[in-house]
This record gives sequence, structure tokens and C-alpha cells, in this order.
Amino acid sequence: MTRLVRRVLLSRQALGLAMAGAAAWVIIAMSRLSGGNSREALSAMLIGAFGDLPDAVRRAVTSGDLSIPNEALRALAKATPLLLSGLAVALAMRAGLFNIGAEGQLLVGAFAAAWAGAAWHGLPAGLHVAGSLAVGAAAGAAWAAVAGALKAWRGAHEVIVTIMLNYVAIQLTHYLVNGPARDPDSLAPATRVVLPTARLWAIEGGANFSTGFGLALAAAVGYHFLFRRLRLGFEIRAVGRNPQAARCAGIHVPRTMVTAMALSGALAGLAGAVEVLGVHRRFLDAFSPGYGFDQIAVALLGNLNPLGIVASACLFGGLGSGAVHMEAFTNTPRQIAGIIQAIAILVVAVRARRLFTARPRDPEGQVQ
Amino acid sequence: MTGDIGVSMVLLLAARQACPLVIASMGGILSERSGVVNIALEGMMLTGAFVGLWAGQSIGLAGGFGCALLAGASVGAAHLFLTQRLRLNHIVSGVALNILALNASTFFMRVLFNQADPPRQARLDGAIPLGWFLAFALIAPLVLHFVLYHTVVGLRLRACGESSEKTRLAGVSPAGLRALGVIGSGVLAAAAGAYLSMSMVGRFTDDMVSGRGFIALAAVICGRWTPIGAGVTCCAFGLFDALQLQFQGTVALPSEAMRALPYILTIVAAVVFRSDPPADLGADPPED
Repeated sequence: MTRLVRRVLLSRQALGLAMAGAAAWVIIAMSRLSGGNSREALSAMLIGAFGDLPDAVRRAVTSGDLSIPNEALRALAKATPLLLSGLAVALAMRAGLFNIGAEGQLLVGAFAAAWAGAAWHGLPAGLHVAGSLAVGAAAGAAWAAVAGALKAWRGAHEVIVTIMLNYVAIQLTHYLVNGPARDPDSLAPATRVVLPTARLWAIEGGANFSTGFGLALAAAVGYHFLFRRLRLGFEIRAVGRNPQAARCAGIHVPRTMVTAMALSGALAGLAGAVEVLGVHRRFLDAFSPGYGFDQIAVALLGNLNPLGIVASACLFGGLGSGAVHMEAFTNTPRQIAGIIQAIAILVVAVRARRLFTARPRDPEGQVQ
Repeated sequence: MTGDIGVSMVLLLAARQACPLVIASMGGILSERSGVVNIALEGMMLTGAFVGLWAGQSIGLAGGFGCALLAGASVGAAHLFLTQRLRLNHIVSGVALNILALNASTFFMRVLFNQADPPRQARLDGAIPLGWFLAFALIAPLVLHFVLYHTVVGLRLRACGESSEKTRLAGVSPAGLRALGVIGSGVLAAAAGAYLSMSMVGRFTDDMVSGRGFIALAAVICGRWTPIGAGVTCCAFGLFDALQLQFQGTVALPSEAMRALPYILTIVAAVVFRSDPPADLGADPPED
């Protein structure tokens, strides 16, 4: 146990966060030279992320009343899409592909799930939820597979294609939700509310915490299993490390790339589906608060390792909801959370350079 | 008659939209030709836009513009340090710098303007004349073309992007060339950002660059890493943007389709006109 604690405390991630936190502290202090408000800001952020934990512990000890503070649940709810899409980015990165398009895949997946959730009448609840989630994942996978295929067979740069597909997805869902798929009874542009049979179970009381979090954890376990036990996982890693060597070893490089990209898109689509079926119950126009880069931050800070990604998703979930709380109570802009993310990525990436160094150069200029 | 006015309106609009893309994409070429992937263009533009306006309010337009260029140069220097000295993956560094620039600019927007007592407007009284930027955007690709293909520095810069190892063996320091490329790219991108806040719009709004840096980078790739090619691609983007703004609601196509078209065409261009990037792009600098 002490060894575990020691390892956590001495890890790159802890160092990165400590430095980022210190930097954020300095920025807050500097931006308010008049008073020592950075301490207040910090405590507001902690309460926003964890709730009143001491009180919850006290109650659990004295009256056996085990209840998790609402704020902590909200932080985990925020972490859910981050975890799923962070896994998506990490999976593609293992194949040497930079999937910057998780945002677009998430939108497409969310829309597809909302459509399936509202349109399929008369299904039993379990089947309807599973079917809607599957449709969301499939839509995300298809969206990402386009980029994977263009990269694998035509050498089109995946960063450019996924960025462009993001914009196309934004415009496409914007069109659908304002036009053909719009719920006529809704004031804001949104699709129809999904049927009760398609909803994920969620806690009452506005914390937005649903079984989606369990689903995301299961996805992390699946990710671990893929890279530890399955042949496909090994092939993906081999292609990511050195496409030439992988080809010589008899791995079909283009096919592996497309598969990795499709799996990555499926995870991102699932993130969107969970948001729709567990939180919003419908597709709202532009509902994603720019998970765009957050999920890359999650994947990088988690070192592409499933446990690390779970931890960093929870951390960023807490940071995000803590920052909103902090902004409301101390007027410190919530963007400080993003500054912490960026600094943490840089520190961790510098320390973990071996993992993120430039790819081995490809003498033939393309993968074939 | 009205047709003529319509055409010149669209062309002016197109020039206004294309201008920041052209300037930023020249920065992208400088950096990528020297061998450093620069996905941080977006963040550099945002930095230039914010600093230019903030400094411009107190020390005047010219001073503000100078500060914007300096700020862009320092973001470039940060990217250079991270990728060359610390040998970080270029895309990781760029993504982190983008996150940093987006959040820091919004943070300081809140602190310095919205929450100031009394709140300050993030706007400028005057504006840098549009024509200066347009003229610069017009000649920049030609100048860069000349520099890259007809001068010694240009030859060395290109050589550095193709093989920093061999450049070094030829007795030229790749480190200096990359410094030139990346810091120059920061300066140009910041100029493009300053155009947005100090000339085209005249104020700063959160995330006002909104993806233009990525589009500029896409134009670099579609233009096969050549100044003229990238400039033409940017103009095409500007034209599409202008057409979409002009004909919104008057054509049968939904406006979303019009807006998505340039992005789809970029993908098509990336697939059809595929060309190989500089061979050393994104690789580690040679060991000393």
C-alpha cells in the first residue's frame, strides 16, 4: 500500500499536476494582486469537485448513511464522455494515428443514438438501450473510418482529414437538428426526446450521473484487454511503432489502420450516445462544450494507459465542474482549468518523451 | 449594374476572409519547410489577436501590432524549445500550446476586460487599414516564393526540412534554420491574428480565430507546401466563404451544405493532390 502511494506521488502525472497547479495558483494570484483570493478560489474549486467530503465521511461514520455528495457525482458525470473519448484518442494514437476528430465522431454518434432512441417503438428497454448505443457507436466508427481509409490507402494526412470532418459533422448535425429532425414542439433546436425504453438509468437530482460511467469504465477494461490479450491490439501497436516492420511481420497495415480508426470512432460515438441517452435525453444543437481538445489532453495525461486515462478523465471531470463552481463563487474565470490541463500535458509529455517522440521516419514516405 | 456590384462585393468579402488565412499559411510553410509540424498556428493567431488588441488599447495601433508580433514570436519560441530542445512530439506540443492559448486568452479577457472595475470593452477606437494587410497578403506568397527558391537561406531552410542530418554535415546549423522557421511562423501567424482583432473586426471575442489556423494549415498541405499553392488555396477558401455569406438563403442548397463545402473540398484535395511532405517533417533534430 505504501509502495502504491509512493509510486503515485512520484509519478510523472503527479509531478505534472503539481507544477500545473502551482502555475495556476500563481496566475490567479497575479490576476488579483489586491487580495489573497487564490486560496478562496482553490477551496471553491475543491468543493465544486468533491462536495463537502468531510461532512459526508462524518455522516457515514456516525449514522451509517453512505451518500456521495452531489458535486462528486456531477464531476464523475462530466468525466464520463471525457473517459470514453479519451480512450478513443488513445486507441488511435497507439496505431500512430492522431485522431483530432473525436469531437465530430461524438456529434455524429450522439445524433444517431438520439434518432434510434426516439424512432424505434415497441422494443423492450434493455434491447432498446443497447441498440441505440450500438447505433451511436457505429455512426462514430463509420465517420472515423473514412479518415482511416483515406490515410491507409491514399496517404491523406489523418490530422487534416479528421479536423475537416469535425467541421462537416458540426454542419451536418446542425442542418439535421434545425431541419428534418427537429422536434416541432421544442423551442430550442433539438431532436425529439428519446423514449423511456432507450434511457440509461440515472440518479435523480440533477447530478447527471448515469450508468454511462459504468459503461465507460467497462470500455477502459475492454481497452486494457485489447492491448494486453488480443492479437488485434498487438497488431495496432506494431503498426503504430513501425509500419515497415509490421508489414514485414505479415501484418496488413492499411487494414489495421482502418480498424484502429473505426474502433476509436466507435468509442467517441459511444461517448456521444451516452451523453444523449443518459444526460440530455435528446440531441441538442451544439451540445458538446468543446470536448475537442479535452479528450486529447486526457489521453496524453493518461499516458495512453487505461488506468491513467480513467484517472485523468476523473481529474479533468473534477477540475471542470470544480472550475464552474469556482467561477460562480469567487469570480475566478473557469478557464484556469484549461491552463492547468495544458501545462500538465507539457510537463508529463516532456518527462514521458520516449512514448511521444517523433515517429520513426518512413523512408518511402507513405504506408502501403 | 447590380450584377457588377454583387461581383465586387463578393470579391471584397473573399479578400477579407482570405487575408488572415494567406498570412498564417505563409507562417505554416516557413515552419513546416524547416521540418517542424506547426499545428499551433491556431494558438499563435489567437495570441496575436488578443495581445494586439490589449496592447493596442493603451499604446496605440502600431505599438499594439508590434506587441502582437512579439507575443507570436514567443509562442513560436516555446514551440521551438519544446520540439527541438526537449524533443517533444510536434503535434503534442502544438495541441498543448493551442489549449494554453485558448484558455489563457479567454482567462485574461475575463480578468482584464469583463471583470475589470468598471468593465472595459475589448474594442479599439481606430483600426489598422485593411489595405495594408491585403497588400501584405498579396505580396507575401511571392516574396516567400522568391526567398525559398532563389536565395541561399531558402535553399538551406528547405534542405533542413528534407534532412537536418545532411544539412548539418554540409556545415549549416539546422537549429538556427529551424529557429528562423518556427519563430518566423509565430510572427506571421500573430500578424494574421492581429488582422482579425485590430483591422477586420476591431474587437476581441472569445476564441475569435475559430479554426482559421487549422484551415491555414490545411491550405499549406493542399498547396503542397509551396507559397503560391497555399496562397491560391486560401483564396479559394475565402471565395467559398464569401459566396456562402452572400448567397445565404437564396439558393436551394441548405446553408449548412454551403458552409461544409470548403471542408469537404479540402478532404478531396488532400486525397487527390497528394504530395509528400518535407522528408524530415516531424523528425527529431540530429544528436549533437
